[in-house]
Amino acid sequence: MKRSMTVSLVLLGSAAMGLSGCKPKAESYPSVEACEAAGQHTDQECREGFAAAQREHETTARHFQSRDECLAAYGPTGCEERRAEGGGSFFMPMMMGYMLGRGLGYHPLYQDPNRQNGMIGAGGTRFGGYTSAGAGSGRLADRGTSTSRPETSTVSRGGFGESGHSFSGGS
Amino acid sequence: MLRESSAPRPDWREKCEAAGFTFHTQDGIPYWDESARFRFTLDQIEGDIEGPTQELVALCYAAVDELANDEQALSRLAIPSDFWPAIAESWRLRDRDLYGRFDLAYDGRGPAKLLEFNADTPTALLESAIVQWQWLKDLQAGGRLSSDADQYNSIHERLIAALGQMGIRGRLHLAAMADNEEDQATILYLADCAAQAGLEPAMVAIEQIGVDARGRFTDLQDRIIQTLFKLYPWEWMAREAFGGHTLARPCQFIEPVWKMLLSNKGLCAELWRLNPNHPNLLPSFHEGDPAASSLGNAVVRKPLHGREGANIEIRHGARITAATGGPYAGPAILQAAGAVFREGDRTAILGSWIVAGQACGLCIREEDGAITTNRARFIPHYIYS
Repeated sequence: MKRSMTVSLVLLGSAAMGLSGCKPKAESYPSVEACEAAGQHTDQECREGFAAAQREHETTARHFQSRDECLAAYGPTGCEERRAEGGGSFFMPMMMGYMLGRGLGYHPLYQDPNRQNGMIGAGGTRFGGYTSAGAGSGRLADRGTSTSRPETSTVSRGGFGESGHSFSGGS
Repeated sequence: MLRESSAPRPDWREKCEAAGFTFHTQDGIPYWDESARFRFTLDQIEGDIEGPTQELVALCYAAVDELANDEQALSRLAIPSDFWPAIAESWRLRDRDLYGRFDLAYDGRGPAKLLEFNADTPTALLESAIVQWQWLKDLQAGGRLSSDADQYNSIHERLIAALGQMGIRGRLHLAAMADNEEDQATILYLADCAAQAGLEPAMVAIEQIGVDARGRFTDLQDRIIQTLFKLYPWEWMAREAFGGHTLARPCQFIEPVWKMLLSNKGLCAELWRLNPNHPNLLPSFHEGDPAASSLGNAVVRKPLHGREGANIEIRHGARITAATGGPYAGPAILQAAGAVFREGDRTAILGSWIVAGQACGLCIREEDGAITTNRARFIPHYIYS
């Protein structure tokens, strides 16, 4: 056999959500480690689900102009400040965990403003009841670099891309 | 190697798009074209394509070993001199490379011959690894291809394995030009592979990359870029404002900077010099080299840093029989014309994939003329002996 036996995608297009035919059942976890420890999914599913949820978080999480608006929606420790593309900044919820379930895909979870240690989905659905036992503070386990907190200060941007635009070509 | 007609799947557009392959049609012209297919025998795949590809990989690594510290060769390849030490250092440390695609001339009668090496920023990856594979499975499921049919294509599993073995710690940033749909889809596919390899992919537009006060690259969230997959050619990065920042090795680059020696049409001339009369090479010389007079009647002129079939000229004696326009000036090579697959006015060239040094897959692009450009059509293939 000269070809792969199977190919699967976890992020791309609708293929990543194509786990149909199974009864939807969602599990929520504060971290990859907690997911692996729970034993409901393979370690690979836990990791892939985390990556997919994080990507969704980065592209779809709500943006707020003011800190207070964000805190009202996600609780007193649920938000972070981000630098905006064209200068200035905005506020968005921090990803506190993720859900994964057959037929439901993988999605980020945020702090529930009304329940200590509770989590909500982007649409406000409650997930929950995780305890801090699995992941210390309950904050998304910081796998070295997996959070989106600033790590340094950028002094300049835009130093790549000029040739590509002048040739108006790809590769 | 036979070109056959093949009825397109009724839902081929939906299938393509479900895999993230949204650029199957460009400006109303099909790029993905499953109204035809190429058939190979296993002997052709293994003896004429896979084996020679593996041989070419070995020749390329040996060539880098020769060229990385050869200032005359670096000059011939038009590599900026401030990058010479970085290239030598990157090769000395054996910075790992991820993937590449040889373009080969082959018409069914071996051996395949190297036209050029897309060593730095090859595209056509998602359609080769995923879409073409899905096409084969669908035709087999519909009884339109034998269940014994196969395909030369383990690209996907090799990418996942290779990404897991490159020493990347956690996060992998992937960058391409923001407004290039094809490039964005390619890095999103690689992000998918990275996630499956247990890494944390993060996307950033090449134009949005920043630097901090210590010369480290940053993303839009001011996170430090530790490993950067950049679908953006080194020869462009080298001359842009942030190019100098790359010299201090602020992060792991994929592809590594030593690939500048390979993603250069001048490589073909250097390979021919180092391995004269090798069966998988075409006679090639730097323009201006008196030895180029030994080339036969049919000669192709290619700029060292041309892309997508631009600025190519085919000459028969003193007559130019085909040429493409484009923005790429500068030094060029002269190469003997290869025996590409031809049927009427159509030509097709093979793209032979390498992941982490392993030959592992094939794509075929077909053109309504003698020069393969960015208007070429992707035709899927299968193996049936």
